Amino acid sequence: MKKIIASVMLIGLSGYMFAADYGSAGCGLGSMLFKNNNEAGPQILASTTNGTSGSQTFGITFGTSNCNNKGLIQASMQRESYIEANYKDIAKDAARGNGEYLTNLAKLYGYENNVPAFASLLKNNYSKIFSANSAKVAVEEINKIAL
Amino acid sequence: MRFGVNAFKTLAPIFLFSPFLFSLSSIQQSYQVELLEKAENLKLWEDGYWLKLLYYEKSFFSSGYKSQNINPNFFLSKYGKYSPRSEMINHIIGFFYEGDDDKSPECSFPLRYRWLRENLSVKEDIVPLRKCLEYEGWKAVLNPQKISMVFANGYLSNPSTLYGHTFLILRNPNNSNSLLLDYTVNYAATTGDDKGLGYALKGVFGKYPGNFTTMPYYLKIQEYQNMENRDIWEYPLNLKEDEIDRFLMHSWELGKASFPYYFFSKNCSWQLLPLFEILRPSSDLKSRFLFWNIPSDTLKAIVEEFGERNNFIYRPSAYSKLKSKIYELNSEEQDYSLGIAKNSEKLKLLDPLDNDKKIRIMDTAVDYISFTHYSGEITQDEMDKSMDPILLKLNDVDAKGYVFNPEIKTPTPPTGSRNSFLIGAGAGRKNGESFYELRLRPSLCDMNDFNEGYLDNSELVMGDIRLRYFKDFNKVYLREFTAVNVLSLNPVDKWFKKSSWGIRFGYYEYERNRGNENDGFLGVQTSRGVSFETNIKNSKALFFAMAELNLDYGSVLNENFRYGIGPVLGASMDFKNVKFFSKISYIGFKNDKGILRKNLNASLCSSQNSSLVFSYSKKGGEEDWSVNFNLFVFP
Repeated sequence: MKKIIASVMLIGLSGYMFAADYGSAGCGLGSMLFKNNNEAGPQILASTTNGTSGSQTFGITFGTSNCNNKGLIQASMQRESYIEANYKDIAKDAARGNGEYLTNLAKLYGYENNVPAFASLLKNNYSKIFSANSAKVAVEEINKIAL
Repeated sequence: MRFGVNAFKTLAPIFLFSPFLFSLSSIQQSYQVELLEKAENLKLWEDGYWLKLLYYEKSFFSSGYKSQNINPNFFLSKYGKYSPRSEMINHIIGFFYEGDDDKSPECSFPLRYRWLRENLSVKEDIVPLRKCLEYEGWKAVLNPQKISMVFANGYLSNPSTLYGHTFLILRNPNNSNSLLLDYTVNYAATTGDDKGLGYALKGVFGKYPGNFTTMPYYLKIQEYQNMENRDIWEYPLNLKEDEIDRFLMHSWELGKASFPYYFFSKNCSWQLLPLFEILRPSSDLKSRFLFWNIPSDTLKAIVEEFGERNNFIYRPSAYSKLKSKIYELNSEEQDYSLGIAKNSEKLKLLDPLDNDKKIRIMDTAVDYISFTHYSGEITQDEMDKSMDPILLKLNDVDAKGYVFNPEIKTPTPPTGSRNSFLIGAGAGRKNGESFYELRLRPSLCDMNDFNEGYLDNSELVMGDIRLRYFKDFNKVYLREFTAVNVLSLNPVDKWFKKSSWGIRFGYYEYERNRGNENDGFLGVQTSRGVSFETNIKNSKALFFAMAELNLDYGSVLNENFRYGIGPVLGASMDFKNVKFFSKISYIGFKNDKGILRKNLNASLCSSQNSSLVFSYSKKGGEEDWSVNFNLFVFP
């Protein structure tokens, strides 16, 4: 009985929020909000979890923290950022051989007009790219075969 | 020369500390004075657009103005917060800024300056246009040809999301086949690490700064569609080229702005309204939302003005997609899929199956594993461990062109939902005495409403007041005031095992009142349990069983206080335009006799924005029935 009371109580006491929505840092909009990259980093990492959504955090470490001073992803980090943010979804699409995450990645590698070729590149090199479960390795391997 | 003296007072510090001014040519100096005088004669700082651009509002306590912005970088004048005039003077002086164009006020605040140039007919031969390379570079990357308004639905088991969220996507034509790469513009509070009550209070009282940020759409998709299982709706807006221009210029300016973020009123959704009023000066949106702001209402208002209600793109959440895949599997395939998701050793069992079957089973399993990870059931490592062998195997299956991507039926869009504010009137009898009833409920849905376009199987109420007038006693009573009520019924099946829960807080009438007594108490009720759902043709039935805890406080109670616990059983049946919802509970109290509560409601959908509800309830000694007509209006 005590246990039931405790678990029911929990509902009331665990601080549910009824707010609309908040959280979600990104790059600052326009220039000058973040004066340089170093300032941008911690800010972004601070609150990407959207408040109370739970224990998940965005594993973005070398992606969005590389915002340029205009609040955009640095041109040189586009692929890295994308692969890191969508790692598991890209792996799924690569294994399936199709999907939106794959199509978008193809675009970043200049294969927008030949997505099937890009899809089979990933499929044929699947274990090299994804078995380490590391975005970094995936970036290196895809760069090797697709650039 | 009224202006000269006044202006000099305001400007004195600038003259003293800005040596560059003295290097202006005499033509420029006299032109500067001319512009200042012109602005003075026109009283240009009182122009509505200037006030909008700097977020000035008439001050509540004095005749002056106050800008909502709290970031000093958004002003050029030290007195900018309170003085549109001083701000304008400094902008005019800023025309003559000597130094790098990109650092000039004009490049920092392109829209304000464009407006000033037009309204003061500034001569370009004396004040040449600046070359804002940074701004132009930024614009070239974003390159929006269209802008879409996005609504992310709430998700049932995540209370912080229930009302939904709105943001904007900048559609870059270069990404026409890679929409995830577009940028978004998002307004959000920077909350830091606060949790619990402190967090809620700070949010309610506007203690968090809200900022505009950009980020790639794929990050938003990860967050909303995948992690939080929220359906996403994109509404392309019909903006003209110069409106998009104004939008970009002003967005650039907003990079320097922060506003106090109020969860209920000036929230993520509200702050988009002034932005839209700035890009289309003829529109009037803010005045529609004076006291509170529900994101789906903002969406409706903006889409009504700038888009089309029925022109949208639906992006099903990871949960909706997973459900559609499961639905496609037969029972044997489902068992295989669940089996390999829980134990990848079982992959061997798939060997004899044909390829299409294998693909369906494995594809569903990997999505299911992601889902369990994001709902906190398994860790990242556990996810990797169970998903990776399946993906390896899936990668090796020769699909021969087979794509497993079941079609998902588009649910009612948020713009197709009924209005949010309920006004109800009705009549009934309580213990034989007849009464009339008036009900007001600003937000948003309960189990008796027809909630297409809102959340299914849930209640989300903030502020629900019922007043009763008894003819025989000639008296008005407060029957009930619900401050907050959230109920989230999550049907359980072999795939999904989320519990159902509810929390409710408010003022309620005491069940054992006699005659014309109407004493009440403040009460909190929380509950947790399970629910099941069955679908038969076009109708749906949902059953739930929960344990409920009550904590009540009020002078009508013995020692002012009682608490108790007990079971609740309930059922909801939904046949297109008729709905039944019933509940029965027994709460055993410490300090009071136990109470059996029975509640039965039948609702008729009379039109999209109205319904008729018949209710019967029996609580303790009180028997009550009523008929109510509810009208849903735009707040």
